[in-house]
Amino acid sequence: MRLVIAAIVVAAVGAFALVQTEPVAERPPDFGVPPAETVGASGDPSAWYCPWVVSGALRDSTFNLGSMMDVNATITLPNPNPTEDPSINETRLRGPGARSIDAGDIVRRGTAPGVVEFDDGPAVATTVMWSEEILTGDRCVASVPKEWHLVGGITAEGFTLELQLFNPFAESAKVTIEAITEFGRSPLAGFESFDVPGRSWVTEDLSRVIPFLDMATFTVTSESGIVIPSLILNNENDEASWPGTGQSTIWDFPVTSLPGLEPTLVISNTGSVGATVAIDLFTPDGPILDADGRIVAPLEPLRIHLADLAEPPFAVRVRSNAPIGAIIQAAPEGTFPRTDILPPEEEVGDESTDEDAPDDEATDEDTADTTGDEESEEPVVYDGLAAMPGNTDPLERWLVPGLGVVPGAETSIWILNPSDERATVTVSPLGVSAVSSEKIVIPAGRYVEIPMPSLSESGNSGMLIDASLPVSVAVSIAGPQGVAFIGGVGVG
Amino acid sequence: MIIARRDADLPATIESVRRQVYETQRIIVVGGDKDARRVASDNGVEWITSVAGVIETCGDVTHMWFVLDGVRARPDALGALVRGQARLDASVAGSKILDEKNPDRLLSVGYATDVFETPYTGFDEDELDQGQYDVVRDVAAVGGQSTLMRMDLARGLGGPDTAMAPVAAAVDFCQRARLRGARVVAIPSSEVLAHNDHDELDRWSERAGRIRAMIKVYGPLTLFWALPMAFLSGFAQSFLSLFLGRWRFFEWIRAWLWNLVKLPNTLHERHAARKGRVVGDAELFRYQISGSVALKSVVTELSDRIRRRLPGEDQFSVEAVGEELRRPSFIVGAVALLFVLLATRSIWSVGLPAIGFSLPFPDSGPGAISAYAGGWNPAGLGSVEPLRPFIALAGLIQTILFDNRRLAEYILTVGSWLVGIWGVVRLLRTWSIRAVAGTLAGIVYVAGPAAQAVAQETAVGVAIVIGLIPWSMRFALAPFPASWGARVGRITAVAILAGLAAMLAPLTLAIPVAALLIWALLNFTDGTLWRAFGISLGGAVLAVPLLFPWLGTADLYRFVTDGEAYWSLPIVTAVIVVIAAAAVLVAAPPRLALIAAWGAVLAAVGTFLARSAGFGSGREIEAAGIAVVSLGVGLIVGPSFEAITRVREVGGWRRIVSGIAVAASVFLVATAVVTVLGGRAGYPSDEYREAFTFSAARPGDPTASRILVLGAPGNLPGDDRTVGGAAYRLVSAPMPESWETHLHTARIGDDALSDTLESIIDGETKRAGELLAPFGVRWIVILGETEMDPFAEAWRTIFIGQLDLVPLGGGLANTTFENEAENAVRAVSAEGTPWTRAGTGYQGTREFGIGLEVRENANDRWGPGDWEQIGWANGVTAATGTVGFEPINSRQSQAIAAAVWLVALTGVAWGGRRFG
Repeated sequence: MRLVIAAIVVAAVGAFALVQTEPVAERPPDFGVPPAETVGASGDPSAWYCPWVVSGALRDSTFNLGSMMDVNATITLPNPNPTEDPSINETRLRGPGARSIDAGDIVRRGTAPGVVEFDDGPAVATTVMWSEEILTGDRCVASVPKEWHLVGGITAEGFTLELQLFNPFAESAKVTIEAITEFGRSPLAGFESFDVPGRSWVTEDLSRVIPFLDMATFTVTSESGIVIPSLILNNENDEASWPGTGQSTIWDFPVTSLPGLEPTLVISNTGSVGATVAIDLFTPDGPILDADGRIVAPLEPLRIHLADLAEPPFAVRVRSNAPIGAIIQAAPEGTFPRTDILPPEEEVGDESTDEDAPDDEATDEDTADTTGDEESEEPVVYDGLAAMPGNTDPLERWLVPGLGVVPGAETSIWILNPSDERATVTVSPLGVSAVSSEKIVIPAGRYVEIPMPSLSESGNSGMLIDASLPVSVAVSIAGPQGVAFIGGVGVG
Repeated sequence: MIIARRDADLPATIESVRRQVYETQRIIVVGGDKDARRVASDNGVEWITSVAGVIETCGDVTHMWFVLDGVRARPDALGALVRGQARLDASVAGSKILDEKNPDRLLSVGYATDVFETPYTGFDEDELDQGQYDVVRDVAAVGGQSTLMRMDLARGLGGPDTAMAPVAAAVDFCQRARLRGARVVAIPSSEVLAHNDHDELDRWSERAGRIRAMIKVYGPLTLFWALPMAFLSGFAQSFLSLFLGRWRFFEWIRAWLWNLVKLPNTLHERHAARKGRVVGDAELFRYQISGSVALKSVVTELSDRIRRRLPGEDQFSVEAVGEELRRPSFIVGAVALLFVLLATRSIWSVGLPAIGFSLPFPDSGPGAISAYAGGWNPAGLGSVEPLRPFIALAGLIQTILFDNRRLAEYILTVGSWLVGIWGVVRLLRTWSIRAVAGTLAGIVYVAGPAAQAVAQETAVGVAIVIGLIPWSMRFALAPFPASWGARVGRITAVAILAGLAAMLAPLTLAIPVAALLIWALLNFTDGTLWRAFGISLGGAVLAVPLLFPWLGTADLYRFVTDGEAYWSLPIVTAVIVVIAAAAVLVAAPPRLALIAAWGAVLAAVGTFLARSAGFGSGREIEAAGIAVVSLGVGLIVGPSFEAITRVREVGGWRRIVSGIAVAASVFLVATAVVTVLGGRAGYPSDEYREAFTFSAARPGDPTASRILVLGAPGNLPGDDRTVGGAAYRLVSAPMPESWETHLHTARIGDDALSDTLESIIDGETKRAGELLAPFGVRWIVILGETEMDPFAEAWRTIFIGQLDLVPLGGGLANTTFENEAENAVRAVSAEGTPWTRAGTGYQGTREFGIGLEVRENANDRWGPGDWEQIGWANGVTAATGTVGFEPINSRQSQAIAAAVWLVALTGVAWGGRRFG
């Protein structure tokens, strides 16, 4: 009897024990996703990585800092000799304010990529570099994704293409670089699990690795560690450099060309299916939506000569149904090889008469619309090479440092209002300046160019752009040395 | 000369001396109190206060015969001594000593000694006098009961050393005599009857006398090694005596302290003894045996006792050795011992594996005890939350074992296994289950699937407690003594076992009680079992005070709910256990079947407890539940092996079913034996030593800093905290210790660290090292279970993009960063000088007039000097060179009271057993 009772108890308790359910499995952490590439400045402390800076006997560079708050900024230039300490410059920036720091004042030893750290924000950093023969500039990057896309490489005759891989971190990085050319995916011998030492950089001449290509897009993927890549394109006239980006379905290019330069748009799709791409042009006369439409096949980068679509100047928005990489490149006509199909002339004309174009005019006396078609003096014609990745997110506030810092060069801010409403934009100098704030009304689907006086005239090297609607901002610097386009940095 | 010593039968001694055939010239009673003087007067003999006085007054005497009071010399004793001495030209001659209670029993015929001056007779216990030693021979010493010596020698040596106890004094006198070239002989034809003084040899006075004798006669070189060896040998003897129920530590310590006090006098005596010596130490070694007599004696006695407790009822004897060796119980026992040694070999070489909740014991045993007794809890950023009693008990054992933590870990683990197997044998013998079955059940109990699960959970305390549980039950179940004293002793013995178990793992206090309750319910009408339950319950109640001060301040709800009790039942093993239980229930004789049923109930209840996360049960309940399962499985396996041997009771189909039970039990034994492969007593392999000890090879003192450990919840050393769903915690470099296992509730510093990690995760900084340096974080180690561990990957993503963290390569198994930021230390002076960890405090260079920031959770007991709060940390003065936490008096008092309670329980248990 006792055994039976015991057996029943065992069965009951045992069964009860067996039906107990396992606690809910741990959820994966709610962080740790590799950061997407962003160009916006936030209200937090931040670090900006500037991969392509050279300061030596021939070249000068500046780190251009802008901030809306009082911040301490530290510029750290790693020393290629690991046994030596990095060169460090510490600056106090009163907000809102901007300052350009000559890299040569920190160290003058040639290539000197650096990191700009702000202890508060929003604050941004860009770089400008020039010599007697070249002019280029980049916005620095604040996020460090594992995969970078560098669109718009050319290794054809007359071009030199270099890849700068900057590793500001202590850990050695191991990266794999792949090229996508007009011939499809091209493996790069020796660039699999390529080592980039910590707190150092590597500059690779890709013209020698994959020569004579009209179109080359690169992906840089980190297996371990992190690098910040940048492409440097040279021809006999000028140099253009642009940082790696992520991919996006929207790319805004507030500036695409300057007088004498022909704009081209390079699009790359590294996905697995074709991307349907539409190109909107924002001319002084109004927007031309869907000025061009393409299906960009995977692994087939495409260069579009925008001058074939409309008479420059204009701003551009690229829309896609899948993430793509896009870059604008500008150079005198005939510089870039033609690989695209010229659309019929009449189709372009039809597009230019788009009925949807808003007819708002920027005529208010409060505005300083410089996009009008009023008669002007003989325009200066530039001979240079410029390149710039677009902006992925229109924002209402932008910080634009590095204005007027290149001697003898003209600097302009370009603001695109891609929306279908007019935007009121306030352009305010960062810090004490001879230049006063001004309000500008930008009609729907238009852009404005705001020429900036030189630093010596205004005492001001940066502007804060506040808009009533999300806009997109870029900077052009043009002079006898060359031409540079620099993407703006929005405040997110 | 009759030495009056202890008010023994002095008149009888005087009378026996008077009756000597060889007449004495004078009879003098020496020493003693006024009673001795009165007795001397009443019997018409002289009385002199000291031996020296006698020597002075006996100018014309050639020989002196020393006789201890209480000794009764046979009439020809003196004559035989005189003749023998004269024939051999000896200076000292001693009689054969026979037991006054049993004149046929030999007590001594002269002595050999060991190097520690302990006399050795060479007799077996209770050896009878059959004339086998009746040979006149040279010896190292003769007993002081009856000694004839030349007067000139006595005068030269100054007589026996009155500061010594009798036996030691006799040995000392003979040694000094031999140093002068004198011959010491034993004359067996001279017989005296005397009290057996053997037990006195262990007393402090005899021990002290032997040490003094060594110091007096040996040369410096001999003393150089012999004295330390004597110290260690005495300690070992005292320790082993514990297992014989004798507390000898105070005797041992007192003997050495006495010699310390007497050292100047001893050195003076040494000078006198060695002045004019004619031989060296080699002559003294001539009649010495190797090793320690006292130690050998204890070991032999211990072996005998173990032998008597082990299977086989026959007493051990030389004749029976061959037969014993062939007995299955002996073979199984030997195999079990070999199994335990093999299955724990890794713990001998490296200690307990550092993984999960198993961390090395603290470096200092006394430090651990004081940290428990109201000191600082060093886990994480520190707190005043009490450490668990396990730390105190482990610290105590470590202190006893020369403060050797690896030895303590090994002894506790191996001891638990051996004691556990032995305990199951004894427990099952309660129901006449024989040794082979009991031993196999014991192996399954300590190393089977459930015990392995406890070890895999790294519940070190519970794993050790497993050894005590069967004893606790056995003590309660054993026949209740007749006398009240013995009964009280029994209950307190149960209380001691329960208390020790509770200190190791508090919840296990209830296991024997609950198990015996179930057993009583199964045998509802058996009053003795209800009494056993009562004894166990009473013992458990008496054991509760031992848990103070932890019990008084611990958050018990958190204690029982921390973690999640969910034991992933090994299905195959569970089915095998069910088969074994069912087969025994069906086929075994009723009594064995009922025991197996009891085991099955325990296993079922334990399984439920171990899987009761749904009821809010935590990790502690899970481990205790699995221990109950292990006990239950042991109670199933034992009867299954026993049943198959009951040929008369188990026949026919029952025998076949019993075979099935045995097959299932063999499977369980086999799973237990698998632990031999790892050699870690079932614990998982070490993970943290490889992960953390790299820090010891980095520049600087690693103890000045902490390691931030990151990973998945439940995959870090001990407890962890979470941020963003992932786990983190701080541990000490170069290696966390067991007192850091359990984290306290978050305090101000912990909140600050959490906020800092959140800001790092949110990407608000690229200099995480700078933010972590104020927490003393010099290294960051990311632990991952697999290469694709999402938690490790998430942490890597966060820290890989930091500008001031340097990844360390060098073949480290885990992603590891070193912080480049300045002052990533636990305590730093205002001048930037780092201080290093010393126990739970810090030490460093004295710097006057400046402050020291101690990066522990703020508490105003940090000192010395004025205390101030610096953020979440502490500010004290750097002028002292050491800083620490002032213990909380109330907790210290409680800890002392608990210790006193344990001693009192031990005393009562011992007294009850001995005198009850």
